Amino acid sequence: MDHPDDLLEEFAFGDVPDVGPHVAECARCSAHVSLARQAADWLASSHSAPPPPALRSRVLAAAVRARPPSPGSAFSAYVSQAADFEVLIDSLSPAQWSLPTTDGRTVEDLVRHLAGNDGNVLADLGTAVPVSDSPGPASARPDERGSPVPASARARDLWRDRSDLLMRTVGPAEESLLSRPVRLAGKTPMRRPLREAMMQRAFETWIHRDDIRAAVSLPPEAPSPAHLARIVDFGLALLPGAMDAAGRGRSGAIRLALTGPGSASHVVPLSTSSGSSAPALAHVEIPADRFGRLMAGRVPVTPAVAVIDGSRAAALDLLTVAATLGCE
Amino acid sequence: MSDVRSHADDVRLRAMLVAADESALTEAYDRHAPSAYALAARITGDPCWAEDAVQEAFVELWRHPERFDPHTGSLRTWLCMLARRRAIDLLRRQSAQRTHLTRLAGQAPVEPTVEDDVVGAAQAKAVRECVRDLPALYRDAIALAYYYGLSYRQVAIELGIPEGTAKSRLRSGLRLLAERMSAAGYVEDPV
Repeated sequence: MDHPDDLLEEFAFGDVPDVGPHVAECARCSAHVSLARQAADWLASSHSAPPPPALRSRVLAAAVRARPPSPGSAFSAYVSQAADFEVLIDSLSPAQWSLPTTDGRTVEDLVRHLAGNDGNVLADLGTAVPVSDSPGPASARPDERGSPVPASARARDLWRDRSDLLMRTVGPAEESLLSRPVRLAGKTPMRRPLREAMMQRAFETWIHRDDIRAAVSLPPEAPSPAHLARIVDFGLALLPGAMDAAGRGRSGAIRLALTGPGSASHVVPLSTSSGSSAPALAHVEIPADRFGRLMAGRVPVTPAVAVIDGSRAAALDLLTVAATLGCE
Repeated sequence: MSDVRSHADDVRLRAMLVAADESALTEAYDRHAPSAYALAARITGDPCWAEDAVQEAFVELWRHPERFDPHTGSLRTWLCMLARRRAIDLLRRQSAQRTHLTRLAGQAPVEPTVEDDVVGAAQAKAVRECVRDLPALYRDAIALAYYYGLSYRQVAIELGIPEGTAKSRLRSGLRLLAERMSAAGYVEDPV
């Protein structure tokens, strides 16, 4: 094998990217690059000097001229969950990618599953979706030993490529795009505006992150209170329709008090034909993060799952249907 | 070099940048512009060119944040790499290469600069001392290749040595730097 020996340091310093594919496949060159990159990291950190104050606004103005910033934070929950998910899967050992999760699928299966559902949204938006994990620019990266990229790393790259594309596509989205109907994930085919679909992407990414955390014996970790509240809002908006679809729709409403981080009070109609002014049949109190996990089917609906005052039948009906709102 | 938390911060910033969240760009600038600026100023020796290099680095990050992979290094290192490349381009455009050795003699890359972060300052000081204590032969090779972007051939011409010698000096110098930082208890990014 011919080695691009004269170019390895330049490659490590960020030049001559053409050498990348060879380095990805060659343990010897990868070791050289790794060492040079480590030294470059140290050299980069050796000095610090405050730039002139006026440079800050000049840089920011030049940047937004080159690429418009996002007009709002309609999907900040997804961005946050995707980042947390990436940190988690980057921390996994090769063996942990094969561990079974709560429903028997492996960690790698779940990562591919998420990539698939992100891809569905992209496809509905008419965006060309990276279709497979065949070696490409991202997946050509070597592991620490310069060995061929394992299936788990390809799954990770596939998920991240699609997640990146989703964020880049939705980031500058105007109202017309955010209102466009796209598929929701789940067993029941349903189309909802992109704005809501992005909240579901956040919801599913959180839940599968917790599935993976459980598989590697880490405790669950809820989203930030603000994002949790918005994820729950997304589910609650679907609930009256789900009650009707399950044949459990009825007149009346439930007062739902979500406690703890993400706390909020809601009046949830028990059918799409009931308004929020319908009489409350019961008062239900439950921690917000537990309700979120219940919506994902990760918390069993038992009489003790929440504090119920009033019609237990109506309250348990609502919780039972709420537990079907997750995405697989 | 950094801990798990800073890796998580880099991943979070990257995601926000991909999503075109302008607040992530300002955060990245406020955190890392001093490192990028110091490096660009050292390479170009000209504050105006350094500003241009920093601006181009951050605009590049904003336009193509996907190209930054926290798996292979920190955001600061990535930005420094972009600023370094821009600074070297500016130098080349100005046909300034003939002054390399003069510049090296008058501006050894071991001068301390302003630090506002205690841990970062201690680490930066350790790096500077490691570089300062390298044999001069290695230090010059590193300076020419890293700070001025010269190829082996160009390093060899500048130093008046055979190409093979230039290569071995650079590799030995980089290895020694990494080993000494490791021996001093500093670890690389946990990626």
